[in-house]
Amino acid sequence: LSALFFILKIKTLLFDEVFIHKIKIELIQFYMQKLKTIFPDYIGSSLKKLDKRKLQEIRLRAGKPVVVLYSAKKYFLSDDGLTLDKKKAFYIDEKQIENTLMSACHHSLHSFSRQLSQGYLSPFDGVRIGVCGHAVYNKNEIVSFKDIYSLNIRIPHQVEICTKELIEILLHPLSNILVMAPPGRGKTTFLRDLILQSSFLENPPNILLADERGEIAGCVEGKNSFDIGCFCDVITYADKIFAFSSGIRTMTPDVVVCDEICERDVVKIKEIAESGVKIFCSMHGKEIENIKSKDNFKIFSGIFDRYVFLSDKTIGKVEFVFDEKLECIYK
Amino acid sequence: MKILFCIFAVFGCSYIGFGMSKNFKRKTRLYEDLVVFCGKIKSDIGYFGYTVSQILNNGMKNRGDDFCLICQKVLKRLSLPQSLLTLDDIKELSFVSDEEKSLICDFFCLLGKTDAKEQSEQSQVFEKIFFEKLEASKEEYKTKGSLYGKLGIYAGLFVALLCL
Repeated sequence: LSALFFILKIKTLLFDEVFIHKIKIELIQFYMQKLKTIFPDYIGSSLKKLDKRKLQEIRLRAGKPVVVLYSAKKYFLSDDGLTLDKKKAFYIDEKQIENTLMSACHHSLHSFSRQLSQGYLSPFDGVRIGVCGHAVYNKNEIVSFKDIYSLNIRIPHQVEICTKELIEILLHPLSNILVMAPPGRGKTTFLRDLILQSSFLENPPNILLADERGEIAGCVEGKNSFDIGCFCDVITYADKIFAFSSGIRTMTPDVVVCDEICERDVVKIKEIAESGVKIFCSMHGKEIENIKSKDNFKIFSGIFDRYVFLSDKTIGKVEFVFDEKLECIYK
Repeated sequence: MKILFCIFAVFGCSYIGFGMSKNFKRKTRLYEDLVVFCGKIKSDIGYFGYTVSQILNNGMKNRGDDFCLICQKVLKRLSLPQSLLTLDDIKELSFVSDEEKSLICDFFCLLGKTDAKEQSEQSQVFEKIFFEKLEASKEEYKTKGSLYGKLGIYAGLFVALLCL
């Protein structure tokens, strides 16, 4: 038994290392350089000491220690880098959070008011900052947030997730794919890699990417920060429904890609699938049994040919792939 | 020697007089620039959704030196943790009163702090105030500006006459 545990441990470690090596470091360095400008100096200099490839999230909460998600584990940020000791951790107050937010939106709340009304901020394309605070209403509609208590800064990564076997299952022939995982397990990263891998096919499809939060492609002044191949057109910051209806007419794509679909998108997605355009999208979900029982999944069941489940333990790892009959074809 | 001193006195006093009248002109130009800027930021904020630094950089084109100086101070402030413009930052604008300076500071401090609709309404309010200030400074320039110029020459001539 101990030998088996040892082998399993080695396998996990090896996988982690392989996964880490597949991450493009230049891109993370580029984002970290940009992010450094929005943090208080002491946080910026402490982040310097960390391996950027393992850094996934930075959480700032008013009056609480700064927490980082590092290689899927939570640590406090301190002078020495990471710590589990609360006493050594950096604490951040409301004023510093407000300053961070103002720097993140280039001191121009008006330019980000639409994003803020949806509870997030995309200061640099590709980076998403979740915002929590006191919601400000105007005519029954949230228009912004004041008294910001928490910020969640997510560091984007470009990782090669799709193996040859997966490419064979998902892209030969092109299928309607739904990627499912709990939040923060690499759905967006997987979709990004899927787009890139599609561009290497013998007859690459034209892809229309509805990048509602500017996270998948990370378009900056017309150029994509992430490598999404040469056959992808991106509609950034537009509502999915608008992007689909206008983009399909004007760009004539073979595949449409979008992130984090929800119940209200189902009708449109069904329309797309019935029109012959393939669709790659993602959705929050954990286990096939749970999802099967969801009402919206019953509607999805006629649409998708492949259901990809990412591991909830290892980020970016494909655990299962199910076919249209919900039979497991990859494990 | 006396003649040289007289010429120097006339030129010196005239220079001081015109210098003082120039301050009224600078004030008029500053308020003109502020009024134009207020009108421009409505579209910059509402339609284009530009950030404060983009708005300021665009706003500095073809504007007077004093206005550009304020914009540069605001831009410099944006990179600091305490990003609000203070009276001390615009102390070079000696031709405007402290009350007017704090009005200008208030205007620039409010930039980017609210949503597009609020910003547009705020800029409309400030545009109105700056326009009133512009009219007053134009009037001031007409009366006091030329008066200081003339007074400078007359004072110079008076000193020259006294010497002769």
